[in-house]
Amino acid sequence: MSSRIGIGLWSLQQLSFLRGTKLPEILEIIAGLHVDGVDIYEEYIPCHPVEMHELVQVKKLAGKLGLPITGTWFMNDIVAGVHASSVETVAENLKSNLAVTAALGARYMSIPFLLNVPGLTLKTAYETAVHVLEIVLPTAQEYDVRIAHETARQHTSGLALKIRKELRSDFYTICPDLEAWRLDTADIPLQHAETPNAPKPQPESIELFAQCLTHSPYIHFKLLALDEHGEEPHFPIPEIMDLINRSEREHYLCIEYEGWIPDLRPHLDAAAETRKCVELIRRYQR
Amino acid sequence: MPAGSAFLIKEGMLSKAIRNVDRDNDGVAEYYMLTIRNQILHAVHPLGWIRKLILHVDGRPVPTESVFFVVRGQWICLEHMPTIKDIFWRIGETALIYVKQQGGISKGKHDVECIITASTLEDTSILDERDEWPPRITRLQEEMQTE
Repeated sequence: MSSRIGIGLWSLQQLSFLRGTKLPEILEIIAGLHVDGVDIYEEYIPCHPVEMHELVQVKKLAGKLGLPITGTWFMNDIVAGVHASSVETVAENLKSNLAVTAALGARYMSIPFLLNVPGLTLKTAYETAVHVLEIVLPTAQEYDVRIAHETARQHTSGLALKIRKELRSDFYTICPDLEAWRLDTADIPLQHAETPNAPKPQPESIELFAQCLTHSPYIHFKLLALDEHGEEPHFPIPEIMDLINRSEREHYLCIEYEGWIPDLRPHLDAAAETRKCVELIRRYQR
Repeated sequence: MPAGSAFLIKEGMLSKAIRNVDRDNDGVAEYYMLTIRNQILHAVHPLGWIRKLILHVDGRPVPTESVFFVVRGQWICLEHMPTIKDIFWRIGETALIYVKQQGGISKGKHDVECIITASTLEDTSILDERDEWPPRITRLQEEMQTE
């Protein structure tokens, strides 16, 4: 089935740091890429505290540019949050951000699934996530917003599949992040900022990506560094796109270009590289 | 969360200037002030996400009770910063760092080092109040000129 392409604002955060570019100008740049949607990340959402007038203005501006806001991304880590505070606090934070997402008119709210809690077992991670999501999903349904659990780390996609099986709700979706399928290469070793001293993870299998797809209308298409041919050799892109092209459901591919961070290619222009990312996916789309 | 190990873009975070400030207009500066810009990769955090901020000026540590982190007019003493849950430092936003020192700082060049310890608990709305997560420590350094 077909897939659509969107741009996550993470892709262009470099512009805010280097040039002080604000959200309206970033939205204009994205509109110029003629993609199917935009995904607004917490950094750019007027939600600390929630400013209703500003939220409405963001929605209006995107609409004026012909750019549907497909999703949001909030740094709400369910398992870590419960460990550091309580189930109630985490559930309330998620409900609040679901309301913000609904106010922006977005259908998906993505949140990361990390496992960097001291002493955590996968069993506890699973049970905690299920417990919180059981509380939160009725609100997601009420607001018509789907939680897209971003699985960018080893083991999280498998856990998310198990959670989906338990919850049986279309308002809990798995958001496979290509980072979990990234290959360990000499130029970009497998390492992540939230676990600087952890042993290297293993890339997840393509079979697991295929299993996730049934529950993954919304995908984070993380890309780090394109080569001179416009290909991204750090990920198994041909295999992943083949699965997406053959999938029985439609997928929205939210590009997260990350090459601009200090450890990668900070000298390159994130807007130009993001455009190349769009072209890359379009070449593979069927 | 990003690949690699960096969690901020160091270059350009600290100002290149220090300014003496006479807040009570008595003709004598009682603070000096420098600025720091939020270039943290996931850039919105409550101030308490920064678990510790240590300032060295010309190689000497500045007592934390003399240092204030100021965001949108809100003065937070460094001693209390790890407790702040609902004042957020936003993307690209410049915060002011005031140091209480009668008479201000001498004219000329000063070597300023700012050591930031942030939590690896990645949740925007919840603090690592028990300091359970491994810390990330980053040193920012700048030669500053008194204005």
